Amino acid sequence: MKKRLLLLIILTILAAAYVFPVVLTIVNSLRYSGSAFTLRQYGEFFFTNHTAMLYFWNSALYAGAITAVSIIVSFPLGFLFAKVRFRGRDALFFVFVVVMLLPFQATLLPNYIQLRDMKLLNTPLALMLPMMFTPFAVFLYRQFIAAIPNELLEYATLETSSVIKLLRHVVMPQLKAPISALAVLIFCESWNMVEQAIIFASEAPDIMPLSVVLTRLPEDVVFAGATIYMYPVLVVFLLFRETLQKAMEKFRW
Amino acid sequence: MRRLSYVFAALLLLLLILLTISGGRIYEWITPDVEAIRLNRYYNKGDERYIMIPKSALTDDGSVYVIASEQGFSKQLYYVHKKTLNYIELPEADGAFVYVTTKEIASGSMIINPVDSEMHFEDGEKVIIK
Repeated sequence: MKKRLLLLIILTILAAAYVFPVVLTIVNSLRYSGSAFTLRQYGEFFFTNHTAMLYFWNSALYAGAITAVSIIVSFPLGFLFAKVRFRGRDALFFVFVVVMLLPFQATLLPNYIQLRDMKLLNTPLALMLPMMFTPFAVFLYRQFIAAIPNELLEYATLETSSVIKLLRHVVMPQLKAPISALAVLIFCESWNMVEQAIIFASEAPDIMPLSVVLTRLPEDVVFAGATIYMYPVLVVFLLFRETLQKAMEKFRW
Repeated sequence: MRRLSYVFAALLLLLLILLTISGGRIYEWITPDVEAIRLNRYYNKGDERYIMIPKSALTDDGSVYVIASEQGFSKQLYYVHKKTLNYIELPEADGAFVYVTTKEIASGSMIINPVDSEMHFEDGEKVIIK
């Protein structure tokens, strides 16, 4: 009983440490020039600094597009690595895992050179393309698809010879949990992009996401901006919370 | 709970869209617009230079609303500050103006003109220049 209580206290302290900055941001957003519990900061954010919301929609566009494309593009690749036998499959998958483990900064320069050669620097595509092809999504798909029994796929091939139909009607319905998990994780990652925007779109301030612009907001509205900035991530998490939890429970290395 | 999350998310999304579209317009709607003049008329007497301020720009207690500007995140912002001035009597001067030394107010400053008796601003209040 004592052990359990101690564990509970430690976990509560840890949870509080995570929640504290969020609560502090929200509480500070309800203050303005010394006065507490006022919505003035939001008023200043939306009305006086109204163009900040354009950056919010930039972020929404990038995060939405990156999430949607990653989920669609990684799916057949995950299937390939999980169910299709070909020479060098495991070696290629190993490369994928290594790339996944690389920190983002390691691939920054090759991405920059590639985007420069494609003449895409300082365009919205420069911020989206590198993040649309994420090895992590392929890896997650692969792990979940590998758990689907081969017999089910063999049985389905008796009904149809189309791979697309097989993927859409047999494999896809089994992957609701990983798709939700990917939606949350990729959305959060792309919503929080900072370095990509600063480096790939340094000469195009209008296409910056809110994550970059947040630091340029006037001091007296920055907490309201940060609270608005948190909202989509909280919503995505609330919407996909249950399926995300299921995916985490089912996941096997 | 899930349904509530959907409703809450949808409502907040709608609100954000609405505020994005009309935020600038709401600012113009809630911020008083004023007519401003730049104080670039002056009168020289001997070595001293006097700034000419129209009498219409004076409040009931003889002060003026000086407009300060600052580059905001979205646009140029204008704030008003009430300033009490010491006027100089110049017998030969035009009756439509009052005169102050350049130590009181800088040449080129912007003030609200005209000021009617009902006009009242808090110190640091934002205004829009017509």
